Amino acid sequence: METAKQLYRYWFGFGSPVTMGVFRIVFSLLLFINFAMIGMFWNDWFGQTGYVPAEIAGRWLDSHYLNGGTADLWFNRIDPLFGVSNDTVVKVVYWMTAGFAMLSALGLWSRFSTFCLAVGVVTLHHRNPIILHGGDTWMRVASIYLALAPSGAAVSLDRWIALRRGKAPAQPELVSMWPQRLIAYNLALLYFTTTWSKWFGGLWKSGDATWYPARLHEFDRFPVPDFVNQYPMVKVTTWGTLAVEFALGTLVFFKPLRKWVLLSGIALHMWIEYSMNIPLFAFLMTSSYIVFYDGEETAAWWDRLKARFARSQ
Amino acid sequence: MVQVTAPTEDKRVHPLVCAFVIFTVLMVTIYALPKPSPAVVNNEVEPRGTDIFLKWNDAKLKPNPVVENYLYPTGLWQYWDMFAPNPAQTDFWCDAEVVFFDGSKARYQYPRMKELPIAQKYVMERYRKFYERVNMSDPAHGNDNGWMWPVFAQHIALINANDPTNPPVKIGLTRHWQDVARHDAKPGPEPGYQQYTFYWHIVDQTQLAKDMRWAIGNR
Repeated sequence: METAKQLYRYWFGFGSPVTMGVFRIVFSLLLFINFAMIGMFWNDWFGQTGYVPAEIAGRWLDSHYLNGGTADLWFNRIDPLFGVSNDTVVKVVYWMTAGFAMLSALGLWSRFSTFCLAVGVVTLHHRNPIILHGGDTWMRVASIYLALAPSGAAVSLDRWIALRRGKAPAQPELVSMWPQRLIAYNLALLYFTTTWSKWFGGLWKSGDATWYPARLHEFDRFPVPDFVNQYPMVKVTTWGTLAVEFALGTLVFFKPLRKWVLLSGIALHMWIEYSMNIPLFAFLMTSSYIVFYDGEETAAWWDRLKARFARSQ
Repeated sequence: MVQVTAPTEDKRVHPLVCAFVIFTVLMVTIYALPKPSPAVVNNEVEPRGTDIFLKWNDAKLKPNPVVENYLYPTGLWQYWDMFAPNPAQTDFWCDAEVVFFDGSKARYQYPRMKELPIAQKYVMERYRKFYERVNMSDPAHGNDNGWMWPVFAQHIALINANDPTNPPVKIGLTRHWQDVARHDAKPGPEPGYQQYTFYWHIVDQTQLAKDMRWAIGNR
């Protein structure tokens, strides 16, 4: 009974909205950068004369996400662009979504802007699902959860304006933690299932897996010392990856280990970011780690940082 | 020791919100669970241990209409198989032979990450991802993407169309690939790249003229 109560309090208890505010800022900025990067080649990816005209995207979605096209949907996908082949309309939706990412980062009309951002991301992912990687999937899922959260309740222009007008309390009101817990759960699920999936691959178990990505030259980024991609380091990086990802899916909820698990996750992703060309993936993942900290902890950390800065002045 | 928010007994969330959260957790978990081990998927061995559960999940729960109709329309669909179950072991890139109306030929280099400067490859990585999907050909598992090749080639024709009187008429898509030397192979130089022209496309001239906004009379 006590465990059930604890679980209820963990998922649905009330707490500080500061963490979600910080997450909103960083995550939305990354989304904006992502849109800006893809937008440089807009016609290739979203134009009707590009590589992925609307009918190709639709066929891909049906064949890859509906059991080879055998399943039926009771509802239409969230996709205001469904059936739209006019480039101007798609372009407007694309850049409006990028605009909502910026509004969301600023925390201006947060409820509205995060909602529109989530609808925009889902729509654009339905418009071109063929160029998406794991980081994009996380971007889409987390932006949906973000839209469900009162993420503008702290560190936002909305709150700053309300404070100036005398319409907000000095301390942000407590909010239910469930949207933040959903993000944390889904993030842990991501690491847990990817570890499980890797466990089925003989190369991960034998400690040889990282031999291969290091030799796929289409992923090359910054130069890596040769010994890192040779034995025994291959064993260390293969089993190390498994251990870190497993910890991020499980031990991260155990408070005494949380900081070390997250630091090892950051080290893992930063190494991937340095050595492999997978744009924004590391930043999207590691910027989400903050959801494992309650708002009170984030606020206390900020206060400590400010005090340290003040002492050094 | 699990992190717990300070209890606030006076505030409770609506039971419908609780139901929504529990439902969402259940749906995404069912969908994100991995497929059973490859040998079980290929019916080479009988499932044992967790494979029994994963096979049942894959066959019964994942294709359940409730799961599909919640996750697909909302965009919550997800799977996490980065470098799993085993990392890719083939490096590949693509180029194309463009044949023009007058019989002349040109080589078109589809963006190849290895050849690009670091900043450029960062913003252009989607080209690699796209070609990875175009290149995917595994009919045994329903992953034969050959149906994308005509549109892929037609777009390359569009990129190379500069002269209404001498348009591209044929595009040959060539795959270049290198199998990574096995980890237990004798040390030696990297194996070279092999190549194969996997598709010849006859350019749709009506479509090309329309996309280029060429007046038919000009040609």
